Amino acid sequence: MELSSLILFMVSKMNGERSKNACLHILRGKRSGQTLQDVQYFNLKPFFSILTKLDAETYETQLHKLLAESYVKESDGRLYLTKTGLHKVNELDPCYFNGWDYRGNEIVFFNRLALAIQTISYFKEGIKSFMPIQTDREVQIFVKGMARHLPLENKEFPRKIAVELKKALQASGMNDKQKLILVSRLSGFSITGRTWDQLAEELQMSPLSIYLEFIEGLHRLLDVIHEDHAYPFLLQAADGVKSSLYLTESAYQTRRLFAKGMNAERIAAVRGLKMSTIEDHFVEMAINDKTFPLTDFVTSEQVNEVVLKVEELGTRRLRMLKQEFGELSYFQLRLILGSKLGGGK
Amino acid sequence: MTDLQKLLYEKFGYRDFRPGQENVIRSVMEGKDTIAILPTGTGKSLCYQLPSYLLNGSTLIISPLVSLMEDQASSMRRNGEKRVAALNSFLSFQDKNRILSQIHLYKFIFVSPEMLLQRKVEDRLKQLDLSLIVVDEAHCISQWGFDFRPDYLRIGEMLGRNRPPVLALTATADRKVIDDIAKYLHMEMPVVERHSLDRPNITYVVEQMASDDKTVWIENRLEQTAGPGIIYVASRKRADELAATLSGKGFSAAAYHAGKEQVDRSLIQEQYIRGEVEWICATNAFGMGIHKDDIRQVIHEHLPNTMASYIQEVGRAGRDGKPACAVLLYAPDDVNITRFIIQNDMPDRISVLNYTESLQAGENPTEAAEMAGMSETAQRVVDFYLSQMPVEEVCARLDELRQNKEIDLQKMLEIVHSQVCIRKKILNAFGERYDDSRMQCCSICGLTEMDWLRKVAPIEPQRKFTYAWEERIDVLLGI
Repeated sequence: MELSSLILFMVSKMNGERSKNACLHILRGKRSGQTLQDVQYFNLKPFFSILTKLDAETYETQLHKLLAESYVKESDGRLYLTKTGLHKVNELDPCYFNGWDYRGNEIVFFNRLALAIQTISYFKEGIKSFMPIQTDREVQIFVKGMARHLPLENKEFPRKIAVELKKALQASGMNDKQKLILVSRLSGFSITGRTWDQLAEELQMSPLSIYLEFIEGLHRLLDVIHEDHAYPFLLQAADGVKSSLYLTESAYQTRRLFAKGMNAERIAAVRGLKMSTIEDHFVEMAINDKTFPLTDFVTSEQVNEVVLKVEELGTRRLRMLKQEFGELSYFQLRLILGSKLGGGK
Repeated sequence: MTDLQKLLYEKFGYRDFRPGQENVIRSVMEGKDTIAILPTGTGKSLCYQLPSYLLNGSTLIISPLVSLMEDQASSMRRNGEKRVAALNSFLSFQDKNRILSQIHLYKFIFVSPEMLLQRKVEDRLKQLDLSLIVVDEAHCISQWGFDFRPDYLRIGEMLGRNRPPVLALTATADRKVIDDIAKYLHMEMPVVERHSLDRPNITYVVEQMASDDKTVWIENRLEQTAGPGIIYVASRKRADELAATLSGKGFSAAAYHAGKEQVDRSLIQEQYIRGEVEWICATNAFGMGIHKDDIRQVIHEHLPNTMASYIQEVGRAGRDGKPACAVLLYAPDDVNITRFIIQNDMPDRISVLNYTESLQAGENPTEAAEMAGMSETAQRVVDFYLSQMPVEEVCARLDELRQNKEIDLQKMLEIVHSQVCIRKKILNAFGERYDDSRMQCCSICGLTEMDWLRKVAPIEPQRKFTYAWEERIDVLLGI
């Protein structure tokens, strides 16, 4: 799996509607109003936050590849899909990311799993003290809590875990290479996990591609763990990993104050934040909260007109809409777009 | 058998002290402030653990590196001492409060310097009956040292005058650093207990060559001589590059540096300790807290900044007491590269002025530092000086530091160009005399064939997946 293919797919969805770095922000999971709206409008939720540490340089390199192969062309700082690009997009394998639900937390799940497996493996050999492969304190504390309720002394327990892990990997639908990558990152008493560099050499793939396979595999595994309740051990390790409230922490605070009856200006003053930040929070709420009172901000006629115009123009570019609706502020337009077209259906 | 030896056997299971330990312990027991300079891996922690069992109150251990602190605390717990607390920034708010509220129940209290300066922590510690205070990695207190920690300077102020004896521990310290330790910890006539830095089982070699020839030299070396070993290089990029080249030639090699993600670093360490990887290509980030006794070679592909860091890195070889070899590869241009790195590390007058101007304009300090081109460490140091003295003096102080780094570098360079025994040069630099002569001493004294260094059986790199995924799960879980 190539990062450039993912970017190409994302470009095909946004096709000239957003600036060049919009894909980068989505992949990194930037929690700004703009990016959160983009993933909604363009149906790119699966890709949100799948590469939280992606650096701009790597992104540029991948982009250059697409430009060099003429799948994409750049104009005015925006990216457009070409004919050959469209052809290529149709050939792409389907992918199964679920970044919106996990938002980088899939790694937390895996780190816990790795430490839990290491613990079980060492306990099986009667060794209760070892160098943990995970140095993250939070992961260590979590697994310690988890281990307290595991029958570590039971001879049959490791076998049970092996069966559960195999069953879940199989049921997730990930391919064999992904299963091998996931399992190779685990360490135990008689075997040490492989680094990304080592996996890259052994599988003859780039470390980045391997990492993408790993993330997609984890998303599929987490999906299946949450769907059937047949994997109690894995579900325990996945505790709290799935986002249940789709608001940023800060937007959540704003929502609380709004519910108490404060208006946007008042909230900005109370929280000591810029008005534009509070507006971003409202847009986030409009996107995510079905009960958001849109008509507190605009009339239902205005909403209908904007929705019709978007369909007519075939664009969601704010500047173009602003030209059509001089009486509405950018903030009001964004609220309408977020609330009515947020799902990007 | 003395009483101390009896206790040593009862508590730790050893019959005899290692060199230096007993003197340090006696000095501490007599209530004297003590500075102990003992090479890493010679049982420094025993120097406070044992006296602590003979004293009534608790022992406070100030330790700068969270990972080392955790390492030490957990190894004490493993050995059956449960009255150990570690106060550092990794603790959750609740855990910190819980530990603080029952702090009197602990015998050994580890604390990081930042934590020590927190009001709540300081107040609680002052109520305690402390019988010994230990400052680990005490060279961090010296601005001349290679990892100066401004926080450390405040330890002395915090301890005040009415305090139990202080034991300062470090692996390497020259005269200047010792003076700083005594001064800033307000020590009164401290006993300085120094164990020789000499490592008789290490052979020192300097090889001069052109920069371009180094890679081939290393390849040949790995072909003919024994591992496991560490190859220290100047940059992260070079570590990756060299490891890739060596793996490509069929050697078992991996890269290690601070740019790798945490899990990968743990995996490499674990593989190395288990002997699954034979050679590590690393920056100076590698080594702290790695317990591997059978390292046969340490190769430096670049010129280290200071003798102290060189000694620490080389000292990781031959902990098992068997012969080991340290090779320094030197090309004429290397000194300029190292100088550039050092000077770049140290902010100049213009950076400092830019930084203070931005601060006055109300910029965020981190951004201001970034704009002035200062690293995080540089910012920490500059901030500290700015809190103590006017800007002009700060600049003067930094100039002075820069000159000192150059002096350190020149000392390091003397090893390269030395016409006298390398061991002697190193030991003299730390104020030790050495007039011995020894077989297999160094490349100046002359080397004969080193049979022990000849390669016997290479470690086959684990390149293929031995297992399919399902089998691997079975192996992991011991089924």
